[in-house]
Amino acid sequence: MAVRVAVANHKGGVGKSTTAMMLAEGLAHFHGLRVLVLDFDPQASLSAMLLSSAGVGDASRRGRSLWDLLKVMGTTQPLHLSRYITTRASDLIELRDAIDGRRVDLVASYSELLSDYPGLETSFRRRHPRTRTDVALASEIEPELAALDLSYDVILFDCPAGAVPLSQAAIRLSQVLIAPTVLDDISLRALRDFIAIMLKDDLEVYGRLADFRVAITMHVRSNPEQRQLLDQIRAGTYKLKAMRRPVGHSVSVHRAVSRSRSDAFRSAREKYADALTDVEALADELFEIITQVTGGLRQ
Amino acid sequence: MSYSPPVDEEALYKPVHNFLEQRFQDRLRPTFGDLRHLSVITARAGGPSTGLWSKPDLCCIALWRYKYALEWRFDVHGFEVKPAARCDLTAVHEALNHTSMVHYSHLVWHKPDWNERDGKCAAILERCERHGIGLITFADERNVDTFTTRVAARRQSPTGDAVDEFIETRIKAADRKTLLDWIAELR
Repeated sequence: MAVRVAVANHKGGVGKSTTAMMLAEGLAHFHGLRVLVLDFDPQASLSAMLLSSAGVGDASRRGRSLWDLLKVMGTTQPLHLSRYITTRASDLIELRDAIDGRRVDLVASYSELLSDYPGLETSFRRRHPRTRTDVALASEIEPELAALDLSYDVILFDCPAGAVPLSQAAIRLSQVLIAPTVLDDISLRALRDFIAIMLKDDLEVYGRLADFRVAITMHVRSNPEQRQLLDQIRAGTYKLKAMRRPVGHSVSVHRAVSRSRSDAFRSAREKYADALTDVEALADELFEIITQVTGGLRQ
Repeated sequence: MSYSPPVDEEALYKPVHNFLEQRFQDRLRPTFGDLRHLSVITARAGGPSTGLWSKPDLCCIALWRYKYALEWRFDVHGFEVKPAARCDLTAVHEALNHTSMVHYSHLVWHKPDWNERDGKCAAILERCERHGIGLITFADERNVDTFTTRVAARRQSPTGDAVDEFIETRIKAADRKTLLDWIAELR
C-alpha cells in the first residue's frame, strides 16, 4: 500500500517544493521506490523543477495538470486521476533509464491556476454546499488514490502555503507530514502556530498522523543563531521532532532546482553535486519512517 | 487481506485505463522525441446499434514524432479486455475484428496464473502472434506493474475513413476537440 506524505507548512518561502523534490528523487534513486508526486501548489514551483517551465506548459497543453483535474472535480464527470499523470517526470538520467520500476511521476500544477482557482473553488463549493471544501476535495480524491495504492510505494503532496483547501485536503489524505522550516525565530513561531492552529484545532489530524517531522532547510552551519536554535530543537525545547540532517543553504541546491529544458537530463551527481549527501540523508530517514508505517514496503 | 479477482469485465476497465496512462504510454514515447496521448474507455460508447464485436473496450490515441524527423505520426490502439475465466480464442478474433478501425489491436487478459506451458495460454499466445494481435496479461488489476506484454501488436492498415469514423463515434466531444486542437497545433 502506498504511503502518503504531505510536505506542508503554512508559511511560504521555507523550501517546501525543494524539499519535496529532494525527497521524491532521493526515494526513487537511492531506494528504488515508485513515487507519485501531486503538486497542489498553484505556484507550480515543484512542477517546474521536475519538468522545466516549458515542460509545465506542455503538460497543461496536453490536459495533464492539476487545473484540468480540478475542472473535472467541479462537474459530475467521472474522475480518472491517472489521466493527469506525467510519467517519468524527473530529469535524473538514472530514473529515465531505469528498468526496475523506480520512478517519479507527477500530477503537475500550472501557474494559470493562480488566477483560475477562485472560480474553480466556487463551482466546487456549489456542488458541495454543506461540506467544507477541503473535506469534499479529500473525499473525491481518496478513491482515486486508493486505486493507485499498489502501483506506487509513496504518494507525495507538495502543499501550497497558507490555510487553503488544497493544502488542508492533502494533509487530511496523508499519513506522514514533513514540515520544512528555516531556522529563525519567526519561522519557528509560525511552525508552532501551524501545528497548534491548523493541525490540532482546525483539521484535528495531528494525533492521527503516523509521523510528523520538521525538515530544516537553508541551513547555514556557521550562523550562531541557527546553531543555537538547532541545538534547542534537538534538546527538545520546542517539542519538535526534526529530521536528523539539515539541508544546507548552497549553490548546489540552487542549481539543482533549475531544469533548463524538458529534454535535458542530468545524473544525480551532476544535478545535486555536494548536496547529494543531503538528498540521500533525507531519503534514508523518510524511507525509515515509511517502512515503520507499513511494516515493510512492496509486500 | 486475500485477493479475489474481479469476475465482471467492467470492473477491469478503469484499472486497465490506469495501466495505459501510467505504463503503456511509456512504450509509445520515442527516446528523444515527443508524444501526446489520450486514453479513453470506449466500451459503452457508440450505442447498441454498432454490434457486439465492433467496439474495443478502451483505446489509446497517440500523436508522436522522432526528434530528428519532419512529421508527426498518428496511431490508434484498441484494447479488448477479458477477465480471468472468460478469455478464449474467440477473444483473439474479437480483437482481430477491431483492426478494421484501429492501427494496433491488443487483447488484455486478466490471468493471475499465466503459464506458457498451459494449453490455453499457449493457444492464445500462438493465435495472437499469428494475427499480429498484441497480448497483455496482468496478475492483479490494482498494480500496474503486474501488467506484462507477451506479444507486441503489429501495425495494421485500416482506412483513414474507418479510423475517422471510430473516433467520431466512440470518443466523446471534449476529447475529440483536444485531438483536433493538437492536430491543428502540430500540423
